[in-house]
Amino acid sequence: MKYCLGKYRVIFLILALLLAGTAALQSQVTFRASAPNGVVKGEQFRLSYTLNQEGKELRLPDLKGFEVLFGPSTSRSFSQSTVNGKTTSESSVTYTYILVAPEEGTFTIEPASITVNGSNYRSNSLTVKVLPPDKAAENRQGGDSGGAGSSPAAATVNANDAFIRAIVSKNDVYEQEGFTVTFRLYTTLNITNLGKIEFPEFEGFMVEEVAIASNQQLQMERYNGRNYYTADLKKTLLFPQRSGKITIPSGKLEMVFSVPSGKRVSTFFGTQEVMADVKKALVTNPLTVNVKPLPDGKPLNFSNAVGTFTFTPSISTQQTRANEPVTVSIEISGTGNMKLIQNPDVKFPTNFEVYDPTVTNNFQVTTNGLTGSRKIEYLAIPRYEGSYDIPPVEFSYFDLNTHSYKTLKSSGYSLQIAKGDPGKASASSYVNQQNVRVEQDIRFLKTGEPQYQYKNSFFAGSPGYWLWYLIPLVALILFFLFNRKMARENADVARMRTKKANKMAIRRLKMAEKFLKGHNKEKFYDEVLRALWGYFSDKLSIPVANLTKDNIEKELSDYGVDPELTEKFMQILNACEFARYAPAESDTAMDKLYNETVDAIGKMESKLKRK
Amino acid sequence: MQTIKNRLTLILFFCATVSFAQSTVESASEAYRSEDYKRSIQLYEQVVAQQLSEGKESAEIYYNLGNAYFRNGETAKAILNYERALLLNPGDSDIRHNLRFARTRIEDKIDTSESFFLTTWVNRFKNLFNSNAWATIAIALFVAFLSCVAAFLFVRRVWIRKTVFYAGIVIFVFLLVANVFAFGQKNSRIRRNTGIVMAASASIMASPDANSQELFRLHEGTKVKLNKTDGNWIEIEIANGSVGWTSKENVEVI
Repeated sequence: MKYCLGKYRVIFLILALLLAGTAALQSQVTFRASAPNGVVKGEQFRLSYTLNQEGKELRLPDLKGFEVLFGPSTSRSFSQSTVNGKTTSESSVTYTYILVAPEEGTFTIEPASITVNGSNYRSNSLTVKVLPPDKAAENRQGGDSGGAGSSPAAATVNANDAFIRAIVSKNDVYEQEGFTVTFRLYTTLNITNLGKIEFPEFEGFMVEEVAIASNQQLQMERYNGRNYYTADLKKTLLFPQRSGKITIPSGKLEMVFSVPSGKRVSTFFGTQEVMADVKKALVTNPLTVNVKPLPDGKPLNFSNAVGTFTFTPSISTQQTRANEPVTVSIEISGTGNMKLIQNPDVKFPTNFEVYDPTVTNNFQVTTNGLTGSRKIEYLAIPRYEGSYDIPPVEFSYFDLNTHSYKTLKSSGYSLQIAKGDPGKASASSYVNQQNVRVEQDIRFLKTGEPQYQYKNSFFAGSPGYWLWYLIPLVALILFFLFNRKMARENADVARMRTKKANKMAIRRLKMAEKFLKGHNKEKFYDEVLRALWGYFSDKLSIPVANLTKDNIEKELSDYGVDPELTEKFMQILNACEFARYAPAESDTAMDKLYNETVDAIGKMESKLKRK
Repeated sequence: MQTIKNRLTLILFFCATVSFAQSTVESASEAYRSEDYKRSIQLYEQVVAQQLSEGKESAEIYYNLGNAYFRNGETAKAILNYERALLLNPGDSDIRHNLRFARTRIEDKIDTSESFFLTTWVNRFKNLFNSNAWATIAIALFVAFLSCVAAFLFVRRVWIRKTVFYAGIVIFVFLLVANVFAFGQKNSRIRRNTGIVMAASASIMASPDANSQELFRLHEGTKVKLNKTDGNWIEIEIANGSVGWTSKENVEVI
């Protein structure tokens, strides 16, 4: 019973395995063709088709240029692996044909087709290079078989039998233009061991290693008339950092080859040559690369990028509130010296708080250079509301296809910043005071009419200037002196009075005196009368027309003139009126009247003054 | 009839020259605006030459010419013209700013000994106006002073007399200051004893002799004081007090 159970268990297990296998396999069908890249004319080689599932009706294409010697031979493989308790299994079927190429040339093997579960699958196509047979090898082989004894101790490795070449993809490059250096081993011998490897240092270059499959197949390649097995030991992508002729020095590699020793031994199968292990140091050829400087006419904002690029700018938002961040992202994708690109300059308005851009690189190393994208994000925080403009972002690079500088330009952005949350502002920016930037340029022209002045004429020190001082000063002095004199005279009251009174009388009787001297009697009395009437009119403030002898007497006494003097005036008035019509009057009478009048006016004046 | 005709042509000629100068100034500023600085310089230089032949100068034209030179990258000539403009109009802030800015572009940096603060103040005050303006101010102050004297002499009220007495003293002090400034500004324009180094690099010698020892070198745009001349040699003094001789063509008088 126990055995039975065990048996069932085994069957169950197998069933489960099969089911699991089919379940896994059903997911994807791969059907791959493989053959060596290079074959020698007349030599056999294998063409295999690998299918990861059970299939039927393998249909081969028309193998033009090849002859099928044998096939197909079918082999199956099954593998199962358990990782962390998870079991995965793979099975595959390989169909192998043995072919031979009767002609030299390059031939293409078209895809084969196979049916799996009713659907048709096609393999990849292959290209096979058919190389001419190796004459040197044949000769050597022939020589060896002919005269074995001639070189019995020739257990050395000829320089032509194994060597390393350093191959550059381009000899003539621009600064910053990527190119590859491949170290390729060429050998006709079997390699038993790899020794110390010293690859050269690449001075003056930025270096990127290109990944090489660790389990690569040896490829057949014809070089200098011989067929070699080749393998790439190292592949490097180089970006020259300076111009001029740059030399890559040689590298060194120690290898152990198995070489026919020339000794023969008889074995059960017949005579065989004994193989000897020979150590040999291989040295690569030094290389010189001509690096051209980038042509003149670099744009101002040249970003140091060389290659072919595209440029995608974007902005997170164009309408936000103050203190909310705004991100401008720029994605540069393409092929070239991606690592060495300088970030394009995004000119945010000056009152934005701008942070250092963050750069995300995503690129692979390819033989043409670094391919992928570089994303640069510029974070800025507007601190004040308003509308702002971010000018277009420019990215200029050197295009290797057209050998010219190209500038890519984004469109500018206009931002509308609304008033921010006040609480947020105080939390995020505690210093609100800012220094106003000082003027960074000269000021503009003076517009309008220019004012001209005479070169060597100055107001200061000119005669006009001194006159401006002199005239007011003199005027002041004169006025002062005059005023002083007036004051002094005012102080001398008595002298003033008589002088004033007499002056008044004399002024009034000036004309009368003239007529007196001219003995013009009628005119003289007229003038005396007129003078008196005028005098009274002025003194008593009564118009002349309203004055009569009667009211004068009254007005004078009202004025405060003593009766004696009033009487005297009346006498004079009467005398004058009488004399005007009297026939003759002597000069003495006229003289007397004149003196009396003068005396009377003088007396009245001095009286008035005394009051 | 002949005289009238003569006078008419004279007037016409005068009008023509005035309008010529005016249109040149306008086209020069137009050239500046369209960033054709070479042409702008040429036109402004024409105006300067023409006005100088009539014995006239203009601070504005010198300033604009300085701007054009500055934009054209000729800093030394820009400084020379700004200095000339400043002589004519020492109070102008635009000229001062541009001169200060242009001086940051020259090679020589001379450490001046820190001047006494009062000197700086007085100079700043003095440079508020040019000579003629100070002279006018002096006369106005003099008239005010005389009014104070007159009021003191003729007014009897005691408080008025007291006020005008002290006012008169203050005004008199300012009057003296204004006069000193007016004549000082006039002298600085007549003496013209400063210059700008115009040679890209001028060697300053110990004596007026090409074979003498070289003391130091000055570069274009540096302002120097001109002390005396000897043949084709001129003795200069720089702001830190160093003195030396150089060839006359290295320096242009402001």
